[in-house]
Amino acid sequence: MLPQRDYARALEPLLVQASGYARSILRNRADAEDAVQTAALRGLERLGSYDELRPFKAWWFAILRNCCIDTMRRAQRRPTCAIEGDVADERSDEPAPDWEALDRALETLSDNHREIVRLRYFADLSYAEIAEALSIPAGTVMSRLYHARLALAATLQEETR
Amino acid sequence: MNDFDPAELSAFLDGELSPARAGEIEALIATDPGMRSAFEQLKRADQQLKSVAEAAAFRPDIHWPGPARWRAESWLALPLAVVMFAWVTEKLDPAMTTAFFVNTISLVLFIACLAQLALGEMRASRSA
Repeated sequence: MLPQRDYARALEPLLVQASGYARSILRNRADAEDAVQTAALRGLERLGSYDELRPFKAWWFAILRNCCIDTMRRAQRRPTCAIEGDVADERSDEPAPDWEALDRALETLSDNHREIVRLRYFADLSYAEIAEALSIPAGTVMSRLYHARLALAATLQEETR
Repeated sequence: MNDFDPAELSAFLDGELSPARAGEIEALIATDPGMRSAFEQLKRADQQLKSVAEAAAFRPDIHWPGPARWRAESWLALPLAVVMFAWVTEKLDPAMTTAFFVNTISLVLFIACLAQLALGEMRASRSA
């Protein structure tokens, strides 16, 4: 079991990616920050259940994913329909991510494929870590990511025409 | 090339193949125009997603609770404070300065423990 100090140290390099991942689901900076904070504390409480032989990043992102799902349930909103309310929440000194283009592209994907894309791009997890976080084989990760990219590429190509 | 799986193009893009397999895929992309076109298409999608992911990320402020050890000590100190207060009250004359001093310390300790525990519970419920 990791001591609390080691846990905080292990979490530190993941926080920026974690915020992006949470934001890609919740579409709101404040909600994303709350979800990351909640996941940090929830992980601390569950340190006893962490198996050090498993990848820490995958374990913790699985917790963060559940926190985001909880936040969405509480807010009773779908992950892809909060763009308008989100705009005012963004800090003006930062470029707002092009959610609309991403939304249109992600809409073409199944839930499974969408989740793989988020974990790969926003959380920056490796195939092995995604497999661990979602409890699926690494070969399935490779296959789903390929099909997700194909679908995204087709959608993005249509948009540029 | 043996048993080529199109999904390997995607894995190649992510650097997830063994060096030997990556070399084979690289050669395939270089020699097969259809394969090169498919790879370029995947690469474009990859770059667009990466730029959105980069823009979405920010550094959050994380507020950590007080050390867990201090919370555990509070639970231990709470009954100790009560016992100390009861023992001193029973054994010593309350008018004595020492007894008054010890009882005051016990009460302060008791209140501090309660405050610390209440704070800890508030943080725990916020994180749940």
